[in-house]
Amino acid sequence: MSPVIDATGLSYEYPDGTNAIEDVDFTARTGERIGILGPNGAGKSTLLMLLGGLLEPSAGHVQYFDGTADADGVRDRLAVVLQEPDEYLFNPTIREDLEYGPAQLDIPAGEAERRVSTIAAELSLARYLDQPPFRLSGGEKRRAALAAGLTPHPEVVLVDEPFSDVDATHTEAVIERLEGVVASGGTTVVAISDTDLLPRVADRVYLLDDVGTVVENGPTREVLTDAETLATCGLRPPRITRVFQAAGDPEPPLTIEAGVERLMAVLESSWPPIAPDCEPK
Amino acid sequence: MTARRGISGSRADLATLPRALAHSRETAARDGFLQRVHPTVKLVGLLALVVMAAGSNDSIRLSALLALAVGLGLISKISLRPYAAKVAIATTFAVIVVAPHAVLTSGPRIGALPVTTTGVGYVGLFGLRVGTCVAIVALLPATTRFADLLDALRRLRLPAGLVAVVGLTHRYLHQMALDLDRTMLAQRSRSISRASYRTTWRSWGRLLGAFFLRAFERAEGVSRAAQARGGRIPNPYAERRTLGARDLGFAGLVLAVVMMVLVP
Repeated sequence: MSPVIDATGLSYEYPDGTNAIEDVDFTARTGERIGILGPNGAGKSTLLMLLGGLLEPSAGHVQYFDGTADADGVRDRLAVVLQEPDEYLFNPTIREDLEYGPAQLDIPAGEAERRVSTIAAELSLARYLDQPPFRLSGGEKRRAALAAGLTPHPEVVLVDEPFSDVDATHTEAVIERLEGVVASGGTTVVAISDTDLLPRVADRVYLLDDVGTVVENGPTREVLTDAETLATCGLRPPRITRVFQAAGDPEPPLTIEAGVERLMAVLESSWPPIAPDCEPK
Repeated sequence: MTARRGISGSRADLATLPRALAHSRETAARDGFLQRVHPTVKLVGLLALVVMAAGSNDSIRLSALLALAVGLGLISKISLRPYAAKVAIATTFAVIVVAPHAVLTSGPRIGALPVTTTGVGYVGLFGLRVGTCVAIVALLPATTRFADLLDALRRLRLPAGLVAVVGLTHRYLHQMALDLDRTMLAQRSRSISRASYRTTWRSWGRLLGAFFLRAFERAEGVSRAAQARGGRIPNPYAERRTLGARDLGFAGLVLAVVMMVLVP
């Protein structure tokens, strides 16, 4: 599959000379779900902004799609949802914020309205559409920011910490929306520090250490089961993975759902049944 | 008043800004006369009334315009107390500014007082004019959602950049007020001992410094977010609203007032 983002030797230096990102190579291909994992202050947001063409790298370069345009030339195909919703939502109402992207693409009003109501329903924002952004709670603003990034129907979506402040029910809705992007042939890149949620949104992971260097790049399972490398970055495998690793499982599950499935299989295969009435949720 | 009370008083004053803006939004959503008038018609109409008031030197006409503004406010179901407070504050300030004219303007004196009838007349007329203008202008935010007001400005073909700046300023005025309020609340929640005046004002200065840096950072963040989202100022999907009887009625009323004021 062709790369949609191809970055080589990316580095970024803060004005005081501190390195935020150090010599990062990054490739995202059509249909991929990529996670950028790292501890607080690792430079995930900085890397995401470099990949989205919002910061000028001090070294290296980023290429988009066929390489003929820079980031500003592919804004209609590339969405970057920044970490701070109060900055990302800058229109007087949520409805106008959601319409901001489609309006720039000269999408007919009817179609824009359909997109807005669809995503508002999916992310439970319908009743806030005519509210000003600052009236919303943290989780609502976070969902609204994602919705605003998705209404232009971009092919590549880069999202920074989409689950911060979002409750469990709406976390599922956010995951579904991100899955929807990939299902329609798009690519998602999610910057995240929560290893429990990471396997839900990424098949491949770039692991950053606390000085902004990629220490591992590989399939999610490989990265999240490598407790030793994760520990060097101040991170740990998902909780369910740790439970199964502690029990000596060589192929521990990465998600609660997979863990429950594995346990049920064990229970069902045992004889006599240990818990015959227990059904997986 | 202690220094700490002074700070918390300022915080309370500051907290009234989002509340006041929230109140405007609430009255703008009411089912009143002006709320149903097309925002563009309303903007132009009220602007015409303000021009008439600002250009008038006739206290009777000004009083009639003031009464009209109050009447429009009443049938638009706006809350009279905050409305009257706005008008009173603006009028008082204007009167204070021009008060020296009561003494300095030549003319017959009023009894033994050092003021002249001409001067008092001027100050009174100026106060009435300012009060009337504010009474008319205050109807606009009280009966119009800000998004509709921006839409009206766009329909009037104001430069898109200017409308965007107005919109962003309004949006971030709220945000900065909330940010400052939260910062001050946080400072208050972490104040353990009773501070002296000196310490309190020093920490107040530090807080303001941090706040301005935050405001600068916020501006950079917004600029980056706008770039991430295309950065072009689009034509939003304005509600296609045709003019109705209320719009024509309001336009007719404004026209009648303009004629009345212009015709000697």
